[in-house]
Amino acid sequence: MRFGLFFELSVPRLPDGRFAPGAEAKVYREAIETAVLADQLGLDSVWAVEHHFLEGYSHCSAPEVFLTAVAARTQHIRIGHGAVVCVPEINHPVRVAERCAALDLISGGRLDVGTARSSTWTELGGFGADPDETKKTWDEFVRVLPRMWTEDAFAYDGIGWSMPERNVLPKPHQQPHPPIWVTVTTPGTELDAADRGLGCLGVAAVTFGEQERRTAEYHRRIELCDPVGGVVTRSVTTQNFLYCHEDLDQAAAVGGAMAATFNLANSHLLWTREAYPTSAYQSLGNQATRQVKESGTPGERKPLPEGIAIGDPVRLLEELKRWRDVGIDGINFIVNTMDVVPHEAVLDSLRLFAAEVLPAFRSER
Amino acid sequence: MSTVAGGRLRLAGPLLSDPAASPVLVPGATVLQAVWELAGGRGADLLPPALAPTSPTLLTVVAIAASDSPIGAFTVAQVRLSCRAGARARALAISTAADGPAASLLARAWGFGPAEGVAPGPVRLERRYDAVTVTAPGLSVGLRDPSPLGTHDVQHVVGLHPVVVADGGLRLAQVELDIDVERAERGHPVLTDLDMARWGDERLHPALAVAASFVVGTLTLPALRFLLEPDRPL
Repeated sequence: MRFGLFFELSVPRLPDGRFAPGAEAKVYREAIETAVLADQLGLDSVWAVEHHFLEGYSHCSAPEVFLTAVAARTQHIRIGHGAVVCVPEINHPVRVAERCAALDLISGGRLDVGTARSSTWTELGGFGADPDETKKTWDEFVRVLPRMWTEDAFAYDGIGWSMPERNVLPKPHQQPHPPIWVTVTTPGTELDAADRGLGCLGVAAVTFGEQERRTAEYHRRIELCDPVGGVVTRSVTTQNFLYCHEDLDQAAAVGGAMAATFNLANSHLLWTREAYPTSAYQSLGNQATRQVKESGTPGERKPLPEGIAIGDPVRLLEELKRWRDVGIDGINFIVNTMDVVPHEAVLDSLRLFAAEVLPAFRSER
Repeated sequence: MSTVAGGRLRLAGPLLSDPAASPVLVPGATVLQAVWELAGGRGADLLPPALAPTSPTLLTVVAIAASDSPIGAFTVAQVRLSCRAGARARALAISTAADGPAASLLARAWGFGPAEGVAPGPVRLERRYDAVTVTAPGLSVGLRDPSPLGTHDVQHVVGLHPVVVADGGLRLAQVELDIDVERAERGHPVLTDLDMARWGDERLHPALAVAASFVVGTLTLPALRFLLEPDRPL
């Protein structure tokens, strides 16, 4: 089981709705500090999303820049560029290949490349992208990126874009190229991943049972895959929140507030289907509310949702082992949202997690 | 930050004197939705405190027509703004007109209608081979070049209808229309006339055209379950 951080770089608003001067810089600075600590504590990866125009929710529109800063300050942790939006109106495929290769060189071969197609009308509409086409263009991206990284003379005549013969430079450090993942929100995308030999970068909450079924099918299918590149990434990760504290009630209060804030902000996004009727977006690409057990009496504090990594070390061990037991081999944690958790508390939570929880999984390797 | 001068929307609606206690099934209903992004403003400046904005805010014209309805024939036209009530996707109706024998009941039971004292105007929803158009005084909006969609591909967001309740207060009635879609189409939204002074607020203007849809199916006019206090933040 591998553990990573997952940054959206959300920025809190002032009561009047504005963003405080310096708020974005503070979020970026603290996220880099958190990533540096995660590297020192032995976590496995740090991922940064790519989102555009999502006020408050995510100001991470240039993740390759953020991740370059992380790569320059860390030694061992893998750098997750994920997910790159594989829509030509948003990112030209050549620029994606170039940026990823440069980041792989700077990080000394620590890059993982996540791919996605965006889920919100805010982003697709903002770039004038056609929602009906994004699945097709994503498929083109994942097939041409490995070629651009490995071929000295690359030409392409495709659906979403074309180019004459050129040598796309630089070439990545990892040979033949970095691992490629796909963000999985819509059920069935894990099969697209398996068929292409890609890793599953799960970001939507599902029950243990559903996750187990989908993971088993992924592993069955990937053994039959026709890989799009020279690397088959056999892995299913999921996303979770992390807040670890010795006191369970304190953990629930602080971590629960973080999770609730994230989920509320997520629900306020303008998903593509709400604006644009299409069969290409069947579900809301969100971290939906996890299953909550029924509470007994009115006014009783609701228990933490099952599977969520918020609590004391004992609870976290139990929940994370359940994810391992359904076939998950990696979890990427959201450790803060909109500054709900004070930065020092985020760092303390990570330290406690590394001291009390992480060793139980390291000993299994 | 772009803002709309003049503060929040002034909401008004009909008297909810006969709130729907049980659902009504309307077979053969047709529903047009035409969506634009709202220009020059943000929902946060416009919406009542109970609601949160989306970014961007969507301005949607919805038209519903039913000729074979157990409560009588009707045609409705409505202008809505996208929003959120807590974590839920909602559409705030900022103006509504209803026409036909069922118009009075639609207003009393579901808040489908103009504010008290505002004369209803004729509303027509016309389907042609290559276009669908809804017309009403100050409104002519439609869809052109329709192409087939799957019956589950169109999302109809739950509406919030401003209504006046017995104590004279204004509330937002949550109207959870359900449509069992038999046929769905998508096309380009067409805006020929939209007098926003008459249809909600003169400060509002549709900008980027997003999409239009047209569905045919069995419409369920629901029992009302929730009334929202617009001035109380959720």
